[in-house]
Amino acid sequence: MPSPDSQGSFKKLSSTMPKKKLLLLSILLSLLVLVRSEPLNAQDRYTETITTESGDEISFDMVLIPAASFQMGSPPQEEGRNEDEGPQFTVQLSSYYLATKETTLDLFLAYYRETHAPAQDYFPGVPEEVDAITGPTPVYGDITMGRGGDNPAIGMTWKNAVSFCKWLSRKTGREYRLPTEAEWENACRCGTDQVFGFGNDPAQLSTYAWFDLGPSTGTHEVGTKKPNALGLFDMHGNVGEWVHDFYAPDSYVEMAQLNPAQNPTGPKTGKVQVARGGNFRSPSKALRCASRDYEKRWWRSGDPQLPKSQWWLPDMDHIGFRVARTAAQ
Amino acid sequence: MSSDSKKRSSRREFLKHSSQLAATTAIAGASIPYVYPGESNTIKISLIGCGGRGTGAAANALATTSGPTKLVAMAEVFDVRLKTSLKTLEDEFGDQVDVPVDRRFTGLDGYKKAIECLGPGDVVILATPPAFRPIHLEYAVEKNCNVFMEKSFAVDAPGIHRVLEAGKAASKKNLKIAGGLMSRHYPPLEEAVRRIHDGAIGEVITCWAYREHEPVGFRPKDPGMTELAHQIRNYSNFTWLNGTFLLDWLIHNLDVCCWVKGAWPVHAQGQGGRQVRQEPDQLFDHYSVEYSFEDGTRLLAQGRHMTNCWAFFGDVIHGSTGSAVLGEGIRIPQLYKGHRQTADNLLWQHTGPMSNAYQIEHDRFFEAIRKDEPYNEAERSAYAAMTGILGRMAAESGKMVTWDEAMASKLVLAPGLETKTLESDPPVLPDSQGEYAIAKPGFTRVL
Repeated sequence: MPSPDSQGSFKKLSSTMPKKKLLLLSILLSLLVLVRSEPLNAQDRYTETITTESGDEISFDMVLIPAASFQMGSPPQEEGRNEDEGPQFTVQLSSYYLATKETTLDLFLAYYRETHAPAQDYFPGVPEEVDAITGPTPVYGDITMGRGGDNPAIGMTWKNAVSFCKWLSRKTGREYRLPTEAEWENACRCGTDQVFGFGNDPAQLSTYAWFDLGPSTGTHEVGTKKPNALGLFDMHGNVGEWVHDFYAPDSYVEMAQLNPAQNPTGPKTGKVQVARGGNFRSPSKALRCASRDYEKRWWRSGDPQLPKSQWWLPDMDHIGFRVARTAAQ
Repeated sequence: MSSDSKKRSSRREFLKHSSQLAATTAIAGASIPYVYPGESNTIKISLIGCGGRGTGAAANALATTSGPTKLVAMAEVFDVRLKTSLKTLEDEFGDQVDVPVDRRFTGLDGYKKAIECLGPGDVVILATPPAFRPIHLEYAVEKNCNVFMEKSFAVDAPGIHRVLEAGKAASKKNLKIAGGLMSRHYPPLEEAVRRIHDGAIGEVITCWAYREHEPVGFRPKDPGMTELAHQIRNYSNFTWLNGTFLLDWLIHNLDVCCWVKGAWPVHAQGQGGRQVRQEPDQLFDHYSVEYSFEDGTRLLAQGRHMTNCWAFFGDVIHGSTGSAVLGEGIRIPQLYKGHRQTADNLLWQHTGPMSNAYQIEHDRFFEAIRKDEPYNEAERSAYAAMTGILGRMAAESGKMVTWDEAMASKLVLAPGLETKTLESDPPVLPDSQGEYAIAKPGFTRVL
């Protein structure tokens, strides 16, 4: 059964919608019920707790995002839209869990302390993977960049975020991963086709999001703004969130031919990955559900080394991630 | 453009002149006027020290846009590291990298051969551990090359004097010297310091420099590796190679504080120790040094490299009316009214575009070479390093040490380094337990 929270929220959303959308939503909801009539072993929401090597307990919440079909991307007329958000196409997703909050510095530091490699080195003969989990190289700076432990983890490469997921999986016995780009956008949309998860009005953004609102020197503690209808915090703003998929400006063109694309995972190859949701420094248009960011060359410009670190984006205080998990079918 | 043609003709004249000189062999010490290539001439580059930062510096040099550049020679202690570096640079810069096998040099004397691949007015990038910097700088200047030298610049006072002297010799030869204190070339920080100097936070009263983070890495000795090679590979962990963290890692923050203050310290006292660290090396895992300036105001520098502890990396400046958070580790400098750094108190923070100080420092250096403008950072680089060395002396000895005493010190941490090979004994050796001597405040001799 869908959790009362998400059902209630869907109802609230539907009351404000035009009839055409209502029809669409009811079809969508009945689809959900169809898919979800299969027994689910997992609960709708659970708390994961890990114990660090130094004995601290750190918890985070995972919420079940029901199987869904949605329109990915933005329509051509959407304000602030970029070309890479189209064409829109239909995505069908199986149910999955998503962390209600962005991964915190406390949790990420626990991972770092348990896995980091002995030293940065440039000896190609030395295998990087010392044990099952490839740990990051030591950071000779402040990983927190002056932020508190309940703020989102920042400054990690996509590879490092993926490595974190492997560590978390080993630690918990549950398979954690980054959400796919489609999973992320679906969760951000909360079953709507609006610009933001809560509607179309950017004036409401500050209720839900930390973004460019005058002087802002960094991230904020996770989960301090209002969550979306699925109970997810900071899907808009705070830190941009790594997702699984490679970035390609035309990746939607290919996916649109599949119609619908089932559990899409993005281009098979690529050089850089996508980050979603905008960050505390972004203008409102970069916080739209459909807006896609991706690793730019300058993201590594704070790294004076070459080859650039595979693990760290020094100074990149606005890139983080949240974890996902495939729900048992 | 008349100025361009003048430069080009100067370069041609110079090349003609220098080839004549070369024919007479000993060009060392020859006084050569107008050593500079015009905008259309290719500046050749040799990279000495091909680790991550050296390779990054070479990339910055090759990415300058003031005229053509070409990497022609490389020197590195470890062959594997040279190959990695070369491949990385070839992948990124293609034809701009032309380093055939006979211009790749390994071993401790490779620097000489790599520098000898250049002509006068070309560029040497020095990016080995800092213990070697004075030796390499002297040779590059002797061979009439412009130099970009990474921080830090020496590990002891005699080394500092050698850097200062080489800097003076470079000026006499019209050579340009850049020192890798990139914070000095970071536009947002330049703006912040200009505002402080204009009185934005009043008179500067106290400076705090912090580098507090997780423990420093260490690679165990590989079988078959000589002790000297092992120490060079872990150069951050041995005092004779990196001069301790107070110098090699806090140098940016110390330098920025002194830049803000507009002075170098006159004396220092401090402390440090090794509370948690277990790795077989010489590092303190915490230290704290109080520097005093001539006017009696202070700079407090502290570092800690322990896990599960509070972390901070940056400088905090207190003035008579306000405060600032800036320096290495702080990408967006901020000025505040009062002494509480809250959003409400924010006076100014950088809001412009991102910029890359590592690139800008090379852009400015190469432009100065092209335009033949004065450019010699050797002295302030040496004094910044001396500030770190003074801090090490204070923390390791537990004594109050004056700048003048420190500068007069004759203590060389690695005697005879010029003649060592990878098979030589390093200045420190492990004891029977595999442990190395660690400084003992109250007993360690530092002057």
